[in-house]
Amino acid sequence: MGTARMGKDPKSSVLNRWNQLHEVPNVFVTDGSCMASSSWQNPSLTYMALTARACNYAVDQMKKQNL
Amino acid sequence: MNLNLKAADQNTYDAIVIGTGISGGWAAKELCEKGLKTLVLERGRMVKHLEDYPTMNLKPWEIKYGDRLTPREIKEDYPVQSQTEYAVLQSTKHFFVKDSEHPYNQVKPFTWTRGYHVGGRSLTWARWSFRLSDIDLEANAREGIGVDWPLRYHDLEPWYDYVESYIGVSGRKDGLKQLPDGKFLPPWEMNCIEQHLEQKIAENYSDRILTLGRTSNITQSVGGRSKCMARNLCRRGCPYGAYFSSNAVTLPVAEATGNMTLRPHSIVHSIIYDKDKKKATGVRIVDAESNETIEYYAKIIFCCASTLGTTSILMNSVSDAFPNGLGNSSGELGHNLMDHHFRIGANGIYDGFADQYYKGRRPTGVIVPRFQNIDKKTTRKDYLRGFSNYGGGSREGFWRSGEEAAFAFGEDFKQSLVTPGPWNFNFNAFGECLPNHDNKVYLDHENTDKWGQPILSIDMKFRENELAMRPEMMSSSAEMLEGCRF
Ligand SMILES: Cc1cc2nc3c(=O)[nH]c(=O)nc-3n(C[C@H](O)[C@H](O)[C@H](O)COP(=O)(O)OP(=O)(O)OC[C@H]3O[C@@H](n4cnc5c(N)ncnc54)[C@H](O)[C@@H]3O)c2cc1C
Ligand code: SF4
Repeated sequence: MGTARMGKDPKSSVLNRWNQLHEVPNVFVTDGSCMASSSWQNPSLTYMALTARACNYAVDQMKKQNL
Repeated sequence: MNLNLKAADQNTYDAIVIGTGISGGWAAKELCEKGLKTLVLERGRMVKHLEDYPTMNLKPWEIKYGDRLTPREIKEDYPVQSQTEYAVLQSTKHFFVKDSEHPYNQVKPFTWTRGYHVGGRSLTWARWSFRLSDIDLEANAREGIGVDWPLRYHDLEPWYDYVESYIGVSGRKDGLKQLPDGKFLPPWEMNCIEQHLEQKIAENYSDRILTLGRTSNITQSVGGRSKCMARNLCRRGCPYGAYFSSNAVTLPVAEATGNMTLRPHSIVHSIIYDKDKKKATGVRIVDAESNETIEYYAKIIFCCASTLGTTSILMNSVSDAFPNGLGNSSGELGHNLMDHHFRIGANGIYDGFADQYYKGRRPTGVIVPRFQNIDKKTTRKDYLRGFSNYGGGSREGFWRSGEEAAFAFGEDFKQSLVTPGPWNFNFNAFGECLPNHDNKVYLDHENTDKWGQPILSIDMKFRENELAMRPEMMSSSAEMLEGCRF
């Protein structure tokens, strides 16, 4: 986990809060590389939730012609 | 020119998804259901639900070598995969990579367990399904570690509800702030030794409980999939589709929309970036069978090739605009690698309940959820964050319940069916790992695999905080068992 972490600041993270590359908005990363911390919990349910959330956002942005 | 345009047109989709494992399957389902023509690229072979589960109905005596890998197989093909010895068996080895075909550099020892085929590791995972809490999502900010998560539990909650309801997760509502409850199917049952331990822990401690695992083995039928029959042979593929895998759950739904094009044997090499549009335009793949390089185009790209798979692709996607990997101006791509640390705990034999047994093989275990650093009272001096103790009780020689079911074989095997031994209980603690910039991966361009792709170097170790947590991971496991007269 963690090798393309989410964060608020493009200077210290790779992805934004919607799992989009800060610098390339039409590329989304929703596997374990997005994790900013690991927690003790097995992570896959969180990958599923983040993926569904990012897909919903991406399609919404496409409809608004933002992507 | 015309021909080129036509070829580009044929290779153009609304969306591309890279990988078909747990995350890629979900991306495929969601995007196809929302009407996007979606190309799903998978580096490995096709695995169709049911059709491609060759061992799912084999009886123990039909499987060679007591289901274990032979020393020769371990040495030649599975030196790394075999380290997960309870999962990688004669009956499941076709769902794990041969290390001999997929090399990587261990700058420090690192067990990288992989499955390269349609479904990825969704076929072979252990199915434990837990939510994160705000205690987890706020920790980096609170302690000044790494970077703050840009979201909180309330952002994730509706999506946890959505995916749990869809896949079916069985569990008990425990009302713990460190482990939010979800939309659960009825929990599995504890056997007598686990009930005994649960009761004793409740008597002996005020800071912790023993509860049932939360697992994607469904205890009631969900979405046309019938309920789990408690065979605990899940990693061979389930004849009932009774646990979550991409193959049984998300990919068939994506397929049914008519919007999915699934292309196995497609190794994504890199993402193509257009610096004028400031966007990615598509991906470049190597066909694993023909070695041909092909480009595909789309408006959006979802990277779901697993942590190190996706990171390799992004690092390999270099251009004038991004000489150090796509979207990597921060310099953090490939850094802060984290893994859970485990393989520490305790085992105890219990003298009693000789007349009690259990039916079937429950495909999950029990757990003492994290009880450290939750609030003032539970604050530890020596380390941040925490761990949980996973466990399971069984009768020796009798079918083991819990995750790590092992088979005896030959004469032992027959005897074990008629003469179950004493009850025992096993705890294995599972701990958090802090992000650290120096735990990193990078591409080794000097050494390539058989498709000419640079191989990955992994340079990661557990550090101070993880090591400081481990003594209590062991002592707490032993103490809880001793307190129950094990
Ligand atoms: C034995 C075992 C037990 C586990 N138990 C649990 C558990 O109980 N609970 C839990 O939450 N997690 C568990 N995990 C972890 C879980 O399997 C992973 O978190 C999960 O599978 C990650 O999903 P993913 O989609 O990111 O990656 P994967 O499921 O690994 O899928 C990635 C896919 O991408 C493909 N791919 C990779 N590179 C490329 C490329 N360049 N081009 C095209 N395709 C590519 C792969 O072939 C693969 O199909 C377990 C793992 C193992 C090995
Ligand atoms: S234990 Fe349940 S989910 Fe696993 S293979 Fe058996 S029936 Fe399927």
